[in-house]
Amino acid sequence: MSILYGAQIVGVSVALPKERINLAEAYPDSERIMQLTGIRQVCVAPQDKTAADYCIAAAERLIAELNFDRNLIDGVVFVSPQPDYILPATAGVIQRRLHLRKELIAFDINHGCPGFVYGLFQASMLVQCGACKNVLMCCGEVPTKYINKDDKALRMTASDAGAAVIVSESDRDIKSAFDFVTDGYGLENLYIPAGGTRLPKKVGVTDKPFVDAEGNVRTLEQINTDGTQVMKFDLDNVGKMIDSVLRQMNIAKDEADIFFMHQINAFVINRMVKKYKLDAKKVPICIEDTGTSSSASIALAMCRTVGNEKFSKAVLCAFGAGLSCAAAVVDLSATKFLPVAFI
Amino acid sequence: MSNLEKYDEAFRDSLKLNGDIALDELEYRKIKLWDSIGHMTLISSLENAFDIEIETNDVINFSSYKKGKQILKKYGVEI
Repeated sequence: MSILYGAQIVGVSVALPKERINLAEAYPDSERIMQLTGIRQVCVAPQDKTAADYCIAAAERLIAELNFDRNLIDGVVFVSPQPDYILPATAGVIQRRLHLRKELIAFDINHGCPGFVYGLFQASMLVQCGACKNVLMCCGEVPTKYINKDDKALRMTASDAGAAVIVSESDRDIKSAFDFVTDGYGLENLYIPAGGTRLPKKVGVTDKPFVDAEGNVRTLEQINTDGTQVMKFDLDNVGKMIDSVLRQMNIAKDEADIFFMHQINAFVINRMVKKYKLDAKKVPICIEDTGTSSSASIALAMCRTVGNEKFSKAVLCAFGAGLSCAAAVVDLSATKFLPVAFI
Repeated sequence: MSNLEKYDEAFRDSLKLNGDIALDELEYRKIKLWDSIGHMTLISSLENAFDIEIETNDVINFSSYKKGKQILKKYGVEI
């Protein structure tokens, strides 16, 4: 657990593919799934678009809308399990595409759904330690490229997306609290087994389809998950992480302004609300027409929820692959949120 | 409505069961609609019917119609 000082979230922006799949049309026999998840449309990137493309689009809008001098950005952090290249880091691709200065620190973090909080933590640390004054943190994924066309469970929930956040040095007396839990022992409950160094792709082996207990088709090169075990991890840890960050900030649960949860699905979020006795009005669910947009989902919920309100005590909680759960309390009272872009 | 009737109704509604199916024999994933989606729908339905909150471990261990009766006892629901 950590408290970080002097780092302000200046702005948040999200971009999603304009290409959407209407689930009722694509899967006419699956109304019960839609009722449970609350998801009726998902956003699917075309073949030639990467996670970085959506992050860059989000960042370009953010820089323009904030009228932010891009020459002042001295750090780029890209959080995603899907880099543009194996080598080098995609953060450098983002720097180049956004025409940022060369005197900056740029690196990637491999993280999935919890990535938004990890990225904020890293950006805030860069600011607090004095290495940077303005960090561009981008996070996003294109999971639909790693889901079998006959994996209905994942096809009916996952969306592609990218988010961009600028974290800057602040003169205000501002602080953020973070906490994390990681269960590498459960990594097989949500992972892509093949394609890395441990198990390289091999034609006829890693691309061979198999069927899981519920009829979903997968290969070792695609996302493999045991949703029940992931849900158990999430429900076991989210409450602890939220309690921890609130305790660090001496904030009672009912004093928090809002809880931005990873937008996994309506069933799990509602279950968390009930289990942790949260005020449902303070827990936005924004998934019906955008699906589960991985690490960009908290940013998406922010951009769709926050109007003129000033949230100085916002709780963030993201969870998923790792397995990992990450929570934060941040001050969003001076943060600008852009409308969601579909590109 | 008795607890048994509420319990059976939750199964029939959540899993879209015909009236003539033998509930006593039902097991998780042994019929098409008692998959993970049906399971979560069933758990929600039981929680609403009995005004309880089923712990995550019990959600996972709720592997059959019979087992479910034992689990609900922990929550003060005698069936």
